[in-house]
Amino acid sequence: MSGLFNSNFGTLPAALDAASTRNTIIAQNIANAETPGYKRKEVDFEHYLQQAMGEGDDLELKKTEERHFQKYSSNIQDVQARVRTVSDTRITNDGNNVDIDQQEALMAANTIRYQTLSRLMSLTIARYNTVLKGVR
Amino acid sequence: MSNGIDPISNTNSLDPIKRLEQLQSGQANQVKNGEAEPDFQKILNDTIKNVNVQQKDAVQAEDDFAAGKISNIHDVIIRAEKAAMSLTLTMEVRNKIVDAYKEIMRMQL
Amino acid sequence: MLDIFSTMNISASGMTAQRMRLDVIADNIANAETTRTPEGGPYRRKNVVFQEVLDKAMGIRGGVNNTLSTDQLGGVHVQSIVEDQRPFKMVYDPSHPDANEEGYVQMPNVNVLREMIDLINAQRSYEANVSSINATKAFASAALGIGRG
Repeated sequence: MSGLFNSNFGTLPAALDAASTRNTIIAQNIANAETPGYKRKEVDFEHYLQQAMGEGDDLELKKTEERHFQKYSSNIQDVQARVRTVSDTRITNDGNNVDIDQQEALMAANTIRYQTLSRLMSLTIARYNTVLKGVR
Repeated sequence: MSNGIDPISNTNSLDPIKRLEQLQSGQANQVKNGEAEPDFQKILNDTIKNVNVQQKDAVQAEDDFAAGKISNIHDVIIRAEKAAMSLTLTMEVRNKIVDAYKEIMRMQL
Repeated sequence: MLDIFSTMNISASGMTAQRMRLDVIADNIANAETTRTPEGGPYRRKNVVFQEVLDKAMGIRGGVNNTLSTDQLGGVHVQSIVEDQRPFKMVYDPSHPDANEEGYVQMPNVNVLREMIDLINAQRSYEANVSSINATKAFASAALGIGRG
């Protein structure tokens, strides 16, 4: 059974996971908006998924160290969200680079994204149920 | 009555053996005036193919949305709803066909 | 812990920290003219120091990719309340009981205008954490709606 559902819910579970992770990360960023030296965290998912879907840059990644990113696996269902610390952007006097308004906007967008994804998930489940139960 | 349909001659179409022969020779698709009627089987096949296309389109929409390539929520939702509706419609039609089949099977000949 | 609740805890920690900051600001404003304290001398402006909470015990998952796991994130806490070491303001007021021989009084190193700006900032941050909790609530209700049509 697990095989059936893993393959057929497609990218939705991973996308929902990514949105959930992003929500936590943004909450952490907002909570630390005034912590000296705190560096904003971000979640990468869409980019990796696009790569796995065979789009975006097709350049091979050169690995000079063990910890470097490996080029993405081709299976789009295996794409996982990754958390990254951003330290190279505009920094205030206390070394903090969180823009609280930007984070709030991101959070609003991410919430809508999650709601849309869960709606899509419902519709997918409804399609399965249509076949499994028949319409009566 | 003005159509000129002979009620007595019409009854031979109820003859099961004759109908079967007609089906086998493909004549069942022919109406009296010789104009080709749409093939039911073809319609069903096309519908199912269309449903399949819709399902694939819905999955594609989901993937594209997950990858952040679609910015319009309505686009994704409409495509997913379309797939759900076409599937429901097909299942409804299937149920009706099964019902009709059962009805025929119950028929006293 | 459930992701939803740990995220709410992060936002709650932010709210707690900002509340504490508001308390300190209120204290600063209330004591902007205080020349006598239990420790002696005028009131010194206080400041909160925030620190990010990371549960190091959880370790860093997937060491190869050096990725952070959300389980580690614990929001923020007030690490300490420190006193502003900037010099006191010298105000000429010979009639003041705490005036020195030249008639100058040491007044607290509190700038009320600056405190007001900090107050607005703290309030703004507090509200951001509130909307972050609301977003998490929206997540929970969306998740509960999955499969319900």
